Amino acid sequence: MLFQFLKHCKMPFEKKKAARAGYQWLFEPYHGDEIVSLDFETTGLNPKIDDIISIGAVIVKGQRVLTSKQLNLAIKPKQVIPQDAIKIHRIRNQDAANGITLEQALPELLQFIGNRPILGYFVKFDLALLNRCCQQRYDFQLPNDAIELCNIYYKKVNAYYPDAWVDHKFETLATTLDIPVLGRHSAVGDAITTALMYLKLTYGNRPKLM
Amino acid sequence: MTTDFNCSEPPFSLLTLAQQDALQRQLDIVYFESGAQILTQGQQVSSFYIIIKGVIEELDNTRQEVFAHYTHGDYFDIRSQFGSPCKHDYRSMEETLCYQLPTEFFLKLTRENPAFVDHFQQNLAQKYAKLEARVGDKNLSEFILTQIDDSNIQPAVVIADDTSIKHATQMMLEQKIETLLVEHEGQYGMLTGTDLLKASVMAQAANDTPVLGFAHFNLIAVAQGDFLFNAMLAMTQNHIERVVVKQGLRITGILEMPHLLSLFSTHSHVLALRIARAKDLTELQDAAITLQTLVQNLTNNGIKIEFIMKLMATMNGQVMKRLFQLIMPDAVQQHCCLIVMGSEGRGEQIIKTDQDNALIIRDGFTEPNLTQYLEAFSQGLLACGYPACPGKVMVNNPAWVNTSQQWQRQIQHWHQSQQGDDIMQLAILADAHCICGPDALLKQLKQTLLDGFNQQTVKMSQFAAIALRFATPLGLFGGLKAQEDHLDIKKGGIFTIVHGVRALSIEHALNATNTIERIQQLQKKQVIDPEMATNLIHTLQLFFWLRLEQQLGQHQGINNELSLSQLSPNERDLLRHGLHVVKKFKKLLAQHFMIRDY
Repeated sequence: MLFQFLKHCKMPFEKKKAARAGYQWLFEPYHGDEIVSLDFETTGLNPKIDDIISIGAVIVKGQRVLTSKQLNLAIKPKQVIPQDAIKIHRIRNQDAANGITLEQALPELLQFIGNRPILGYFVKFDLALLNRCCQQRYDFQLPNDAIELCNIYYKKVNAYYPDAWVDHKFETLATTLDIPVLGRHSAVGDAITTALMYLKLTYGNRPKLM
Repeated sequence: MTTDFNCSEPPFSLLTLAQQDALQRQLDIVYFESGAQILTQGQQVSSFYIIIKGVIEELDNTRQEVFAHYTHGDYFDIRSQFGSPCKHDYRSMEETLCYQLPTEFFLKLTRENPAFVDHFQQNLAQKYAKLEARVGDKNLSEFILTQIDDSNIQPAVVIADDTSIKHATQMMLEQKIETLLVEHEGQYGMLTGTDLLKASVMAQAANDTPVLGFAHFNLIAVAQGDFLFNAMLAMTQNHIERVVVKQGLRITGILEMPHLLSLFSTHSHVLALRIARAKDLTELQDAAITLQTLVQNLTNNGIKIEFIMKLMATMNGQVMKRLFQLIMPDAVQQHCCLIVMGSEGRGEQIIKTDQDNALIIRDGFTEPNLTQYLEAFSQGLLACGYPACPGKVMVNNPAWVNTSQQWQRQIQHWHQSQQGDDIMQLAILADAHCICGPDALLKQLKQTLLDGFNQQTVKMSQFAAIALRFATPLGLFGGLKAQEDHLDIKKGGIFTIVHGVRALSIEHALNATNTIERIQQLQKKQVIDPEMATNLIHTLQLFFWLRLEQQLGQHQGINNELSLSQLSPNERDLLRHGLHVVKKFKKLLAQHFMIRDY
């Protein structure tokens, strides 16, 4: 709550800064029924130092995941991708070398997201990373509402099984919600799966733990 | 290439790579909660759906009639893509994920790719006909389904009973036939070339002797219009090589074995002869082992399951009969009745699964070496490929070899007992069918068995309740419920129908043992309505068929598990409908026998 309030207070200043980069329209309040499911593949798990190497985003409109309007960008990182990360997302340095630069990708991404709410799995991490990039390039932070998949999941499960220890692993969520995992560890695949889980949690029956 | 849409199966594999790529870019994924109305009768459609996960039901809203179920990999609604309004309602039966493709784009693909559109048009016409007309060697199935008519029988030449041997022989030579019919006081007898040969050479009869004394009366007849297949069965069962063909009471012609054989291209007939003529165990064993191949051939050739079952029941019976004759001395054959029970007794054993048999000994008859003979018989069956019965229902188990009186007492004991096992023994015995020996012995026992149930409502209810013991593998929303892709079709469906029908027919003291015959008789007695009867028969045949198809595909081990992923969407659909019939039948049973909780 406090965080939201503070963010709200900061908004006029941020908007002014964004105006300098031509992005003040991002600060308009959003009135549609669409959200954007977002996922990054990165060089590591520290949002302060690690780079984005792949951006996946897809729009969710009502009960539909608009996979036909998806954003799938490969980014050339400024640092060498460490082995551990490659093992997870299987994007090797030579694969990433064909990507565009973050400077090219960022406007495209912001255009795609617009002022829609952003949905993600551990969305805080992705937003922190994105905000760092925006801060560096344009000197402002994104005002978009964030929707955390794990929170929705936890609320639904916890109301039903108050004492259960809730496992938040991506695969566990997908299995419990009976959602097919599409292209795990490709940014856009994870974004689609996240979107599907969100729809199921929002419109479907309460998930049942095993 | 980011939606994981599978383009490797038709019709999408018919698209060019560029088209597939474009398709991938046009796909959305849509989520429907359980019970959502996706399309409504009469609406104009703007999307084409391909199911990722879940079940969609197509139904006629005004008549509340379900048309089809669709699941993973199926698509809908194809008809309304081309501009006509949607014909039926589409609803999700459980939470469902679908790919959604704009109709505009779908139409663009159909304009660009003729093969793609052909697939849909063809598919539409064949959708329901497909399962009936299975691919395979058409000639054979056409032959099997051919009916007896003038084109395939030989004319019957009738002669008077005082015709001389010489004249008869002349007629045969002139007309190039092997068989003549002899009329004697309004009756007809058969006279073959062999008969004439015997008469003149062996009996040294003069050329002008009348043929009457050499003709065979008591003819076996088949009806004109019957299947050729049944003529063949009649010959096999009666060990004869000719049958007369009748239309009403009039004889219209003769069907001869060599003639039939020339039409017939499988070995089934030859095999039946080999069984009947086997001189020792080894010969019989060779013949019996090839039965499996025969089933495989018949199935591949698209023969209907009911014919295969009928044929196999006859063949299995022949093997056991021949083996019994080979091993037992004549006295045993005259005074002991060999019965088969379980699936074999009902005539529903297609693949050799086990030997369920027993022996009834006439009161007072003794044979000191009987135990050895029976052991030899069981071993012989084992050698012929019939596995031992896990429940030890076999003649080498003394519990299943009794004199008539002992059996009577045993049945009464089972009747009085309240234990589930004992009730099941009665169920096993209720399907008994006599293979050889005096049939009357079995009839007496069955009468005792039926009498024990007569007017015993509570016991009948207990007996019938067993049919409801296993859950029907249907989900809450009517979808198939499988465990790791496997569905036990025996527990889930076959047993319920077989036992339920058995209970009903015991209650109504029917003689039939075959489940389908029982259902037909129950329908005649108006115990079940015609619709239920037809549904049950079709369902049972479907279950047998699906099981057989998968059992033949397995290399080792016979089980009742159906692998759902091996079924086509069409078959899955039929299976689901079949299981719904089972569910309905269970309700009927529960109501009929007043079974309260199941």
